[in-house]
Amino acid sequence: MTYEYPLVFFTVLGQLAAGIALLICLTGLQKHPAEERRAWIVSLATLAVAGVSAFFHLQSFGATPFALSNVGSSWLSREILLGAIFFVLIALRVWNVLKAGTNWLVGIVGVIFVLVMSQIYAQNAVAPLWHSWGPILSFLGTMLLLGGTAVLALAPDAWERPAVVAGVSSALVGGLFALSMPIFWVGGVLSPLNPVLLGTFATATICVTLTQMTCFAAGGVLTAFGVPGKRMLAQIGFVIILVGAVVGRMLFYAANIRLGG
Amino acid sequence: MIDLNQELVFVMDSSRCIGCKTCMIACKDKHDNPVGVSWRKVLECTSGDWAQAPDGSYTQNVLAYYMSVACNHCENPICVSVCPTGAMQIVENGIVAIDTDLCVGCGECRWNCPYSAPVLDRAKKHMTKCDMCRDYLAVGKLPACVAACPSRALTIAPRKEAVAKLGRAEAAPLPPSGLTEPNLCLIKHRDSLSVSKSAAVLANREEF
Repeated sequence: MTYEYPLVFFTVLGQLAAGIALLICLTGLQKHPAEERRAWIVSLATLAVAGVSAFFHLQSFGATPFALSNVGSSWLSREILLGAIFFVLIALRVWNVLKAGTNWLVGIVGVIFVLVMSQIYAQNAVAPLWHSWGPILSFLGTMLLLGGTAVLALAPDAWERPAVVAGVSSALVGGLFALSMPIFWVGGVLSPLNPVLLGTFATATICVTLTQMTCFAAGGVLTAFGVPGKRMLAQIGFVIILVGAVVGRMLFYAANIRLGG
Repeated sequence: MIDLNQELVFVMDSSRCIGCKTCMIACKDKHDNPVGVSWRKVLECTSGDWAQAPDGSYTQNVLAYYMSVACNHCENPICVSVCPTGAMQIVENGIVAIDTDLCVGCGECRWNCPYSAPVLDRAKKHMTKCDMCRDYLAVGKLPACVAACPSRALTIAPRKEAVAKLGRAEAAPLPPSGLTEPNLCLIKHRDSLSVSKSAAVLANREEF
């Protein structure tokens, strides 16, 4: 099984950046300008690290400017384009060129970025375990989960109750979606895939999904206890959930079991 | 001798192939590919078992056959449409080739190719794959793999006529031909299995 570590970190961190952007909008964090600015900076830094990570996936960089030349048919080109637009929009918010009234626009572009990212895998007919709605739900789920817990960890001490409810709801729904991928694998295994590889993968799925659930539960409990003023606990909870998301994404890349081999 | 300046297909006669892998070696030699970079693969397909009858005797239905496969220069080359930089291109006579100056080695083509034809050459830092020996074709020579095949199991033929006559390759361990419409025609071995058994019969996976 191979994991493509640069892509593991690129996708997870890209979804975290998009989640923060969306949750800033959904929770109305702009009512607290200092915390909002800090959240935008975290989102921008996260997306920058994601972008650097993606470069490690490439073998040469000379032709990277041409990566936008096939937007008409390549989901990878579209992902790079959306990622660049999203990065610029967040940067404009960090430096206040765009005002708080445009937060919804940045949030929506982030969601589109994640949707386009998921299509690279969902459209791959050669990998039946990817070729489903699974990557779409899983990526959106990770975005909501990480975004929800990140804003809870970054929130002001006396945050309004509706904002906390929005953050917690996002994290809960996102967590369920993020864990939904194995359901789609049940359908995928009906394809003519190598039974030995499938057996190994099934064992890994059980172990990793249990690990992921444990991380999400432990991180969720810490975040819940940390929200009423104990920010450090919420931040530790977020990190544990992030680790769970990374572990789950490694399993996702291991699901690249191909037809005909 | 056929006209080589036209759209061509590889024609693989599985009933003739003896699995000697001369085609693989000829390809590696011609293109000077390093260890780990094989554009042509000889797939070894095995299946069957032994069963003991009540009288103590044994019967068997074991089988084995070979299939030599490289890039099939598909009618609908998914590698061309997913390549972000446009490095993967359809060039003269329907050949799918890589513009190495444009390739960033992202591997998207290999991920999406049902035949895993594009191979990353880490030393060259870009993807590589069969180009049907287009330099040889241009001077009237056969592709290296075809010229080297001792049993003439691997040949090339005019594309339209061969596809009309033989159809596109559809047998285990290949994936379904409908994915990309490969320009590979197959004369099946008598024991050829259905594509639905594709993954169960590839015996030499570790070679690739």
